[in-house]
Amino acid sequence: MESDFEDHATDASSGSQRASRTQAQTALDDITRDRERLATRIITPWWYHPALGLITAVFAGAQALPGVWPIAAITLGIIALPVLTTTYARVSGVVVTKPAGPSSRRLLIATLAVLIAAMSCSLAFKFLDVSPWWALVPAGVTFVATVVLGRRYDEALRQEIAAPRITPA
Amino acid sequence: MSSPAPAFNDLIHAPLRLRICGLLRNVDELEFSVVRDALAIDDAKLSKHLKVLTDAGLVSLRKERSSARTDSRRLTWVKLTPAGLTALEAHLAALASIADGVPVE
Repeated sequence: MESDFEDHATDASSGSQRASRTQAQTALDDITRDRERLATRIITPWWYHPALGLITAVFAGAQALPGVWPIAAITLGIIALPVLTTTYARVSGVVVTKPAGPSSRRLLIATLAVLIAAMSCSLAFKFLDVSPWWALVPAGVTFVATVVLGRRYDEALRQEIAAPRITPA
Repeated sequence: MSSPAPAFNDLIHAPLRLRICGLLRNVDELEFSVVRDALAIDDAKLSKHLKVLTDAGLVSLRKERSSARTDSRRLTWVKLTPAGLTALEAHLAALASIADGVPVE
């Protein structure tokens, strides 16, 4: 833990002097260590991805249902999504809603692509007038993709939050 | 994110304030206790530095009720403001330049 003296001393000097090369590098190293420590906290509980998978599966499969069921199911999913993410944020104390780098961005795009393809498939089943039970196929694929890609997304996010991306001009 | 022009920021440069901002750089929000534990400092010291950062418009705080607490205390969420993120990126670019031996105005 840093002492008050150290803190005040640096506060006083920072206003009048620029950092030396060593001080600048030390400050950047401290930030890197803090980020690595923070990244270890971004571990989703075991229930998060299955719960998210169920919600996305509802989005994917609902299109094939008859009558008002699609609207009811999608409304339920829209309500459940913020409940799930808020619960996770309160448990972890960390809110990250966007990718932190290229790997996590690619995995998010892949997950969204699977969801859109599954929803289109489900919608096609409805127009082709096949049994609504066929919607279980895209829904199941979406569930598995969300759980598998979601866990890989978390791993990529942890690595990208821990890795510094500070470049001199 | 595009690299901003290096700009040394004296207010951010104080070690703990720089570390607080560094933690917030790639997340949307962090809960007060997460920042405190990550930096291994006490509540009072973190509150003092957060006040400086919020007064300067670099950080914003959001209070939220918590059912996990039996008292009336709330969760406090901390985030960088857009101005804070811009200033931090410019300051980090300045530090990286200094560390590489490039003079910064």
